Amino acid sequence: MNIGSTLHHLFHPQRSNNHRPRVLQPRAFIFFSAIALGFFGILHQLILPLQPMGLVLGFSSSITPVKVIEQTNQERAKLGLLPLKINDKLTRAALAKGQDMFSDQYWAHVAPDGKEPWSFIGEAGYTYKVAGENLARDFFYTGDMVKAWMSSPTHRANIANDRYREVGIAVIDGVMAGHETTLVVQMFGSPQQVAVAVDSTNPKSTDNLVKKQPALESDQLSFSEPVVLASAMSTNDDFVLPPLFSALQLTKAFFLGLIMMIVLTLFYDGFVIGHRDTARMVGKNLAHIIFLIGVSFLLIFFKGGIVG
Amino acid sequence: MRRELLQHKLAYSILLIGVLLFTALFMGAWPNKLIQRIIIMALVFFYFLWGVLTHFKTKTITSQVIYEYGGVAFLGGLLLMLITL
Repeated sequence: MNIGSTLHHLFHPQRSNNHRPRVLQPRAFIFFSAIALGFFGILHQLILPLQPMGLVLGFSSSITPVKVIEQTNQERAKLGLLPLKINDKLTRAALAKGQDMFSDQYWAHVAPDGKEPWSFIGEAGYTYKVAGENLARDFFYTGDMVKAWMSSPTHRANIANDRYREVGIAVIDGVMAGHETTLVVQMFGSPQQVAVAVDSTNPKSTDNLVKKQPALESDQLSFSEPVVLASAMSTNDDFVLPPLFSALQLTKAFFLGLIMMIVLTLFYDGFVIGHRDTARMVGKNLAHIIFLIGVSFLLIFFKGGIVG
Repeated sequence: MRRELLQHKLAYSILLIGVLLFTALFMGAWPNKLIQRIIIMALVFFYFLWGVLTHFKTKTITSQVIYEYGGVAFLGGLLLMLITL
């Protein structure tokens, strides 16, 4: 069987394939599923962990701490809240938390050794009345990330908490579970003296807020010398060009290619059979096309990112 | 295909509404991936059921048709599931 007749057998309805292209037969869909699984497995288990960081495949986000603070304050402004001010100690705590997550390879508010976010804040020398933490990873754009936080009630509660006065942001690139990613740590806090002032002016309202948002009372931590740190940090000291595309983009492209091949074959099959007088008992091409176009739409517009 | 669409207006309307509804739900569920996966499974089940019932109603159902809808639904669902991982 030469290439021409093989292609005919695969894509053209004819006698050899019972008047249904081979790629549209049930076994072919199982075969395509196996191909998709194989591609995904090879990409994530073999290629990504082995290739050097950031060459062709990798993760590059446009998130910057300045944008995160701007957009966080925009959300607060919409709610009539005061903007948060950058605090170097909170920024240091956020950086320490991010580095800890990469070094110990975990993604959680509480480290595997039981260390809580408040420990990082305390170690940075920040004495707080109330404090909070938002985490995010795998986002390409700041807007998407802040939108994701605002869609989650617990993260939104942090951003919209009127007791917070200050914030520290860390945007850290690194490798988590074998995959390049960008972690964002957002630490909120209210210095003890400000919180006391709030208590004295409106104790009733503050009590209500404390019930809604259980605040962690700080131990009487002593202040260390203020340390000014950059609010963004990369694990690479040298400047590295961003990778050409991410694993998500490559996966989407491969899957879309697979779907497009099937959809085009469905159109072609419908066109050929429409001009023939062939009776056959097969599924409806138009229905498959509608379903697969819906799947393609979701693949194209799917946004990555996890908040924690 | 136009003739097919006109002959089965109701069936295709249900399919189109269903696909649009699940698409909107999926987009709306972001960034909660667990809910997105549940929506994907519901979409897969909906499409398979739609295919079987439509062919059953028109008395054109065979095991081959059932496998075909199962295969298409499974493939679509798998691709969506994988990108949410």
